[in-house]
Amino acid sequence: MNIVHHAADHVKVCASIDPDLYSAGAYASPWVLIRPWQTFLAVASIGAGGGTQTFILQRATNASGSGLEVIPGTTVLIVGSANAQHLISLQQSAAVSPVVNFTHIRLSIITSGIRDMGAVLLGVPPQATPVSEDESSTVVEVVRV
Amino acid sequence: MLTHVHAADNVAVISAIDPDAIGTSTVVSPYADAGDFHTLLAVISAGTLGTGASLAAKLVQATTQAGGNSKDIPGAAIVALTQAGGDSDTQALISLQNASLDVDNDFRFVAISITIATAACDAGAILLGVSPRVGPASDADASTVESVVRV
Repeated sequence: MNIVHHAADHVKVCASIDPDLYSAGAYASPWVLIRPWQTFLAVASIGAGGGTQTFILQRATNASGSGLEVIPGTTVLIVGSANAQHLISLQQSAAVSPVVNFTHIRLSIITSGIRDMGAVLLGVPPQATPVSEDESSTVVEVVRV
Repeated sequence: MLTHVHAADNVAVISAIDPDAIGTSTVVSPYADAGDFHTLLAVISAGTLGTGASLAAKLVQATTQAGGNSKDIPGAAIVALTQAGGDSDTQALISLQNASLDVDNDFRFVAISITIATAACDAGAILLGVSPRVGPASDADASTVESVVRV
């Protein structure tokens, strides 16, 4: 890595599940194109509350979620966790398929009880890109120091 | 950055403010050792901001992991997110190069500070270490990281 670059040049926020107190149910981020990213890091932040949570990454053949399926190996069952983080590190090669033309991924968390939680999907581009053009539109500010 | 390895080898979660409804107060994450990484990235996530509320965030530095001699890092603060400005359900990032720390005076520990004013807000934050100096980044994950799955 060229150390003159900022972390913000190497790691982008692609999508998120905003922090909130969620009731039992399934929650998902917007769909994100797979192609611009070499690898992904999904971070689920689990706050206080009850129930169990299942943290997964899903893929689809378009931004509308067609052909949705869970990316094999990306299911994390969270039991008895509070004020902790759970990470899924995904290579682009594991997000796609040689059989089906999967083009998009998203985060999903299913909770069986009321729970404070949130998540972000971070994308690592193949090379440093100072312009934040592939960052989620919900990123309203990037401070570089 | 090595791109043929996992993201978890290059990026670690080194501190966090857990998602919660935060009242009007200042919340500071645990301090993390910035010396393990070339750069840091703070991701501040705002959920629903209360009526008239604002969410300010900054990075602070200290000489010990317990926050000794804590002080601001010049320039490492966001323009406050506000409910009136439509900033609910958004993120703000602070990207920090270690050269911005007062290393001459042994300031090597960094934390995120969030201040909520006027009304409670749903919020959370994570502090990422990017590009470790030695070994895979996940070796330096905070103790609150309970699982790392690699696919």
